[in-house]
Amino acid sequence: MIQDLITFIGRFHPLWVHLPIGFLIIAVFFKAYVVLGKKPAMQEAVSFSLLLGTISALIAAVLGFLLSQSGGYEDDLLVIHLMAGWTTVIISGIAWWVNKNELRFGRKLNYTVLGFMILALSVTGHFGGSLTHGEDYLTAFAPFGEKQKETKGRVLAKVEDAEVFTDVIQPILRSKCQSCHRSGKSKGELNLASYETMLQGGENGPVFIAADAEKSELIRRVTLPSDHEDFMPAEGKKPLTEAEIQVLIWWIAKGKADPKASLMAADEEIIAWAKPRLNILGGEKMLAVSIDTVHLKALEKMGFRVRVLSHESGALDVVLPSDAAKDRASELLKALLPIKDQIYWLSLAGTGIQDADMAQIAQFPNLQRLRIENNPVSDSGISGLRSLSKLESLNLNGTKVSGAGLEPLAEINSLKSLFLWNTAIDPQDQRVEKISAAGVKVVFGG
Amino acid sequence: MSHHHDAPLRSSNRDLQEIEKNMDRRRFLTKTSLGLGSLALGSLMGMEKIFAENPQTQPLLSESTNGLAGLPHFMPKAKRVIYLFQSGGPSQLELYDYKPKLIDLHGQELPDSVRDGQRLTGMSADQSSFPMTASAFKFSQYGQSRAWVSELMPHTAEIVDELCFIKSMQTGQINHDPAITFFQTGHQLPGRPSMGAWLSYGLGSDNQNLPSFIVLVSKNGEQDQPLYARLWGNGFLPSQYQGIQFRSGIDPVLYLGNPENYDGKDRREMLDYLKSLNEVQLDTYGDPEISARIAQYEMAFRMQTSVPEITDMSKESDSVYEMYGEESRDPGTYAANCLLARKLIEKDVKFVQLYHQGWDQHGNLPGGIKNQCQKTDRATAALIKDLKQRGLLEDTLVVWGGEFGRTVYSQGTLSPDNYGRDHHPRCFTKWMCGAGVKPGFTYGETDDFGYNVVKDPVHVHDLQATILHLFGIDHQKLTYKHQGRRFRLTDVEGHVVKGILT
Repeated sequence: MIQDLITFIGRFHPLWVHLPIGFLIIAVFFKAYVVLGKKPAMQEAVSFSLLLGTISALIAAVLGFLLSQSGGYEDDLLVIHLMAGWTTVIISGIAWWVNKNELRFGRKLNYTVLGFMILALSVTGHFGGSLTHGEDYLTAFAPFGEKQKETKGRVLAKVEDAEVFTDVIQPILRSKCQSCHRSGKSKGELNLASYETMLQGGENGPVFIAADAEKSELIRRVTLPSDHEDFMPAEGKKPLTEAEIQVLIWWIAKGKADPKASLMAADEEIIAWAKPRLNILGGEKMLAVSIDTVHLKALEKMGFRVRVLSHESGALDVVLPSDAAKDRASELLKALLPIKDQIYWLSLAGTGIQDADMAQIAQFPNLQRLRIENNPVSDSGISGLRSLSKLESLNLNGTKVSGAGLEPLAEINSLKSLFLWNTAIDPQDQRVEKISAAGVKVVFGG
Repeated sequence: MSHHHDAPLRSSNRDLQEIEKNMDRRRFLTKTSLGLGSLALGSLMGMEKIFAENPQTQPLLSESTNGLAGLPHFMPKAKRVIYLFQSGGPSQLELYDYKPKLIDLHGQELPDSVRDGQRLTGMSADQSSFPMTASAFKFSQYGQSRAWVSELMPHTAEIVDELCFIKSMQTGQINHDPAITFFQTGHQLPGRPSMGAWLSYGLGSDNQNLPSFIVLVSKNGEQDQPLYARLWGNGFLPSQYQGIQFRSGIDPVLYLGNPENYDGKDRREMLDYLKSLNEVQLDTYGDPEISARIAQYEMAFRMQTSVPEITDMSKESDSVYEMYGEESRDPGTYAANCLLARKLIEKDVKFVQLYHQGWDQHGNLPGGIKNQCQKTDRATAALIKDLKQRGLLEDTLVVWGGEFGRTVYSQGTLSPDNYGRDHHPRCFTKWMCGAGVKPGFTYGETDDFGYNVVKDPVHVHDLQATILHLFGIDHQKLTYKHQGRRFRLTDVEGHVVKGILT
């Protein structure tokens, strides 16, 4: 009961500390105003602010002491913070006294004491912040130094190397749990910083029971209704997402909480979810293909219609409507070069593109579906498409292609369908039969 | 003559000044007290919960298509869909689900063990006898896939190698309205968004000059059961996502032409001004229906040119009309709508919904269904062939079917040359075709009585989940928050039918 009361009062510390900070800093500003602005009448305000600062700092220190009694803070940091706090109280008291009797102690001493007071205040504040938010809170996103050294997880050579615990679960714990459960601030005597410390459990016993997700405290805590007293993360911090919970459950239940369990052993959905979150060397295609919305907008202004097919791979479906082409198709095509790796489906039907433009299209290495029907394209242009090694569907309806034009197309192993309606090609042509025999569905229509 | 409204609207227009003045004492107090109250509440409940990013209530529209950011969830197979809805419940037993054993059982009572206590409609529940009835039509096998099709569908029989039959469809609804509402909106009661509205909301539009969801109702179907606009409605989604119904006639959208003696030059200017007026209202009241209205005015303006272009049939050759059948020359018939659907799909309209009524053969089934097939069979097959030769079947999905099937027993008296069939929700046949579904394939099986599914049942929600899947959408993730809960097309059910996917 008394302990609860102490904790209750102590928790006003983070709120209260801002009072002395404000009072003591404003005192320095007032002092500067007195000296630089030559307003000696303000001298009284300096003393008054320092007095308020000292009293509120004393109260803050007492509250801080009460809060420290509830435990859960790293000892080293706590001691520094506590000592610095009391130092601030004492120095600000001295500053008040010296300032009040400036004529007796002299200006130089007064300025020195005020300087030390601000120093003590800053040190106290910094260590207080480190206690609540973690030691790297200030520097983690700093533009200098070794930044975010752990926020993205280790770098992997390939997806197959990924381990569920190290590469998927640890980043989750880092972002969702370790602000309270880590070395330095192990609330509930629980430290989730590493597999070893997790094994030690917390004051409520083990964190997980291998192969039994339901009985595992970790799972119980994160799956409770969010208004439940035991729900984690506590105090309105960002809860785990459904997918994150599924990963934890899989790891404990099916992965038997093995720290070396491979990601490849997990369920398909989990792998799909985790893949784009991994930090893979050289950034495999599935990763980090950022969709350049600015460029896409520019393309739309030119008359293209662009749709994202997959956010994972950055695959795009690009259509140039015939009325938007207005005889400028070859010129417009050049604008597609910056996204050449991202074009999976492309339709240029009836845009007036010609043989010379095929070389341009041949530069889109991931092209799967290509519609160039109803254009004055002939064999010589089409032969340039043979380098499209992923092409599955090619629409040549209404083009000038002839039987001879089919021969280079036979080199495209990935080709599955070929549309030759309204062309001069005879369905009985040997070359048609040859390409059909290779597994391409040739459609003539009519 | 030209007007200029370049000056800031608020100061120049008296009406708008009035609106500004409306911020009177009472409104001020209401707004500020609520504002302060909600701030206080926010800090009490934890700011995160109140101001958290909520993808459902604050959908981020992607720039290019106006679809939801983050969609599609995965690589799609389909870009567009034509849904050939055969309203009334076409009899699977006369068309695709061949049951030779019924020939021997013809006239015998339906065994209770087969019916298994199933609730019947009020129309046939009182019958003293439930005589099993074999189809009056002959079946044969067609194509390389050897699919069974009755003599009623000679043209469809030619394209079976393109089709994926689902013989094991099931629904929970036994009457037309709830059953069709269930199919189109995922719930038997009115009020939910239709499938086309969901797709438009999620994926936006591929052609800003035409609505992304267009509805065509045949004028030559027997209108025995009504169709309601809610079947293509937006439900609680913003109203620009509702289906736009084209009229069944020469002029599918009225009043697109400019009035007589009006050269239309300042139309654009008028619309710009109207838009800024509406935007002031939107700022003041924040009603999303105002932005829907703005979008609709803009769409109507663009449709002034795009719709006459699409309905201009002069470029279609005689061979096309021959393919779709003579009726396709008569705008508003099923055949003409199939042809129009192809043209809309060519323009990348995402969802073209056809309805053909008149499949509700409670009595006089042989005559009635023959008539229905004559009006639809040729054009349906022509549409598939046409899409195929144009290369559009690669990324267009076609769905054919009704809201339920029909009973194996005869409704009313079974006479040597006539019979009827009542509604049957336990099994019926649909087919799909095109993007991402297996061609020349049959999924699911019914028993020898054509009464129950014995293998691979496919529920309405499963079909919906599968269609969304083909568009790259996880049906569990496309949701919209309304009245405090998140809704989705498949409610709390639905499994993607992986067996029919390529």
